[in-house]
Amino acid sequence: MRNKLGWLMALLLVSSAARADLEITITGGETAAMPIAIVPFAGQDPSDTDIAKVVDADLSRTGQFRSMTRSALPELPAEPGKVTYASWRQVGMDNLVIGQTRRDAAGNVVVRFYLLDTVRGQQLMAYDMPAVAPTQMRYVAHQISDLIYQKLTGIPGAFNTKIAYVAASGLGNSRRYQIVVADADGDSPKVVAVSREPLMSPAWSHDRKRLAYVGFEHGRSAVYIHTLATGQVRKLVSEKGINGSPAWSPDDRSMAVTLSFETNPDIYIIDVETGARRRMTDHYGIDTEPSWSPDGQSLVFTSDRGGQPQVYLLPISGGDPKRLTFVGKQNLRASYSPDGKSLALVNFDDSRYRIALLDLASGAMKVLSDGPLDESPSFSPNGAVIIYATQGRQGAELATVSVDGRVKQRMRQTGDVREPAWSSMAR
Amino acid sequence: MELKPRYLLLAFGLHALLFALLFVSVLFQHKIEAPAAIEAVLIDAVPKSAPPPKPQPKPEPLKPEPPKPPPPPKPEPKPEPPKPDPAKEMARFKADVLLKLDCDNLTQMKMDAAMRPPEQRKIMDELIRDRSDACRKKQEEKKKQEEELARKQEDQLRKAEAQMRRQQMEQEAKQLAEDQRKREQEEQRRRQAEMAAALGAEEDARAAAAKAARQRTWGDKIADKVRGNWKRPNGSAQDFVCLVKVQLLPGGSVVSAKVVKTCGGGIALDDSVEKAVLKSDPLPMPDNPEDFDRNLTFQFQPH
Repeated sequence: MRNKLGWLMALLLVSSAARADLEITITGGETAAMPIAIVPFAGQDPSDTDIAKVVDADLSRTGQFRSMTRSALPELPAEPGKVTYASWRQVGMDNLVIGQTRRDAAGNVVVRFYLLDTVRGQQLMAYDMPAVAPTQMRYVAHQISDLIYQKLTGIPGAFNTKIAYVAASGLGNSRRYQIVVADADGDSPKVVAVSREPLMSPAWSHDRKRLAYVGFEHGRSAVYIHTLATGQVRKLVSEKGINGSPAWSPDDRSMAVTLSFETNPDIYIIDVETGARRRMTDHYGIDTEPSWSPDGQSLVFTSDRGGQPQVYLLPISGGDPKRLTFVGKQNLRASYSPDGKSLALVNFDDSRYRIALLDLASGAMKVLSDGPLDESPSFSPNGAVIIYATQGRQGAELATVSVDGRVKQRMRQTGDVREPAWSSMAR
Repeated sequence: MELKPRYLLLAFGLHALLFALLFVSVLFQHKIEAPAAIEAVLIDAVPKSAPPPKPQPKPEPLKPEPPKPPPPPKPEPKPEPPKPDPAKEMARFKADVLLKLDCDNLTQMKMDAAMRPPEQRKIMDELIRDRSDACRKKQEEKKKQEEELARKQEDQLRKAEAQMRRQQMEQEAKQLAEDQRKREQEEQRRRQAEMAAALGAEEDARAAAAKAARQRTWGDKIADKVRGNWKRPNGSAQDFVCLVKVQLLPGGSVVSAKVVKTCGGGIALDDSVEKAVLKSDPLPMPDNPEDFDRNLTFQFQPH
C-alpha cells in the first residue's frame, strides 16, 4: 500500500516534471532556400563591379539562397545602425548583407560589409576586405560570398574558384577547339590553348597550377600538362591508339589515364615526374574515364565489360574491379565528391543521358538533371554543386545543379562548350 | 511414677491454699471492725447521735465466724473417701488413671497397667483402650483436620493460583484486545489517510490529465504556427530529430530559442529550427491562462 502510494507520488512528480516543460512536436516543414537580401553597396561608381550583384548571383546559384529583387528592398542602409530589422522581417528576409566601398590614397578599393541576422536583430559578421585594384573587385565579391556562405551553412564557399572547359567554334576548316579557364560563375573566360584538332578532357591539378588535357597532333592523341602561370605545355604520354581521360591523383604526383596501345583501352597510372607506368586493368572490355577517390586509395572507372558501360571500383593496390552501378542501362563518367561519399555520373535510361548522384554507402541513385544529352559532371570543390555540359538551343552549354537537384542554372556561354572541370579551392 | 506425688502435692497445696484463704478472710473481717470503732470515737464529739453506734463496740461475735470457712474446702472430703470404700477406691483409681492418661503416654500406662493387680489392670486396660480409641479418633480427627486444612490451603493456593492465572490471562487478553484495538485504529487512520491521499492524487492526476489535454491543444496551435515558419535548408538532411528549448514571457513572447539537441545536418538546419520559433514570436496563448507554461521543448522532425 505504502509502496503503491510512493509509486503514485513518483508518477505525479514525473508527470509534473514533464509538465514543467511542455513538449511540442513539429513535423514537416518545407525545404526552402534561405532568404537573404543584398543591398547595393554604398559609394560605388557606376563603372565599378556591382559587388552586391556578384554576391547575389553567387549565393543564388547554389540553390541554397533566395534573394530579393532590388526594387522590392524596403530600405537601402549601408550601416547596421541604419537598419530597421522589423521591416526586413516583414518581407521575410532573415539575412541581410549591407556594405560600402571607398577608395584609398593609392586609388585601390576598400570594401566593408556586414552580415546581419534580422530575426534575432544581430550582427553576424563585419569585415573590411583587403584593398584591391578596381579591376579585382569581382574577386573581392567572390570572397565576400565565400565568407557569407560559410557563415550561414558551415561549409566553405567555392565562389573564388575556376572552371576549365572545352569550347568549339566555327565550322569546317575554320573550326577551332579551345581550352578555356573562367571564374566559377563563368565570368572572365580566358583561352589557355587553341587547336584545329580536338581538345578534350581538361583536368585540374589539385594545386590549381596545372591543367592536363588531351590533344591531337597529326592525328595522334596525347595527354598534355599545361602549367598555367608560364603557359608551358608538356606531353605526358602519347602512345599508339587512345591516350585519354587524364585524372590527377590527390597528391598531384600520379596521373590515371586510359591507354589502348597494348591491347584495348585499359586504365594506367603514370608517375608525373618519371613517366613510370603501372597498368591497372587488363580486360577485353573498354576501361576508361578514371577518377581518384579523395583518399587516393581507389579509382572508379567506366567499363563495358558487363556488356553496357557501367561504373566500377578498383583499389589502387589492385585486384578485381567491383561494379558499383546497377540502376539504368548505362552509367559512365563518374567522379568523386570532395567528401568521397558519393559519385556524380552520367546515367543513361529512358533514352536520356542525365546527371545523377550515386550514394556509395547505400547504392541509391538520384537523378539530378533533365537530359537528354547531359555529360561530364564535376563537383564544385565544396561539394554543393555539380557542373556539367548540356544541350542548349545553340549547342552544348554549361549548367550547374545543386546536389539536391533543386536548383539548375545555365551559364552564359557562347558557342559549343563541354567537358567542364571545377578547380579545387585555394589552399 | 513421679507424677503421682506431684498430684498429691498439688492436692495438699490446694488445701493449704484454701486454709490460707480462710485465714485471710478472717483477718479482713477484723480490720473492718476497727475503723468503725474509730469513727465512734469521733462521734463522741457530737453526743446527740451517739446512742445507735454503741451496740457496735461488741467485738466478741467475731469468734464464731472462723468455723464457717470449712464449707469451701469441699474437695477435701474426696481424698478422704478412698479409705473407707474399695469401690470408692476403685473409682478414685479410675479417676486417677483417667487423670494421668494421656494420648502421649498410652504405652507407658499400658506397661504400668501390666504391673498392677488385675482389678486395676483391668480398669486401666479398659481406660487405656477407651482412651487409645479416643486418642486414635482424636488423632484421626486431627489428621483429618490437618488434611482438611492442607487440602483447604492447597485448594486456596490452587484457587489463588488459578485466580492469578485468570487475572494474568485476563490482563493479557485485555492487553491483546487493547493492542488489537489500537492496531485497528491505526490501520483505520492510515487507510483513511491513504484513501484521502489516493483520492487527492487521483484528483490531481485527473486535473493534470485535463490540463495536459488542454495543453496539447495549445501545443497544436503553437505547432501550426511554427511549422508555417519552418523552412529547412535546401539539400539538408531528410531524417533527423532535434530539440529546441524555448522560453516565453507571460504574454507569449519568445525570450529565447536554443537547440539543445542538434539536428545533425549542419548549422543551417539547426538555425532553421531556432528561427522557426523566433519567427513565430509571439506564440499563440492558451485559452486558459492556467495552462500557460514559460518553458517549452520543441521537437522538430521532417517526418
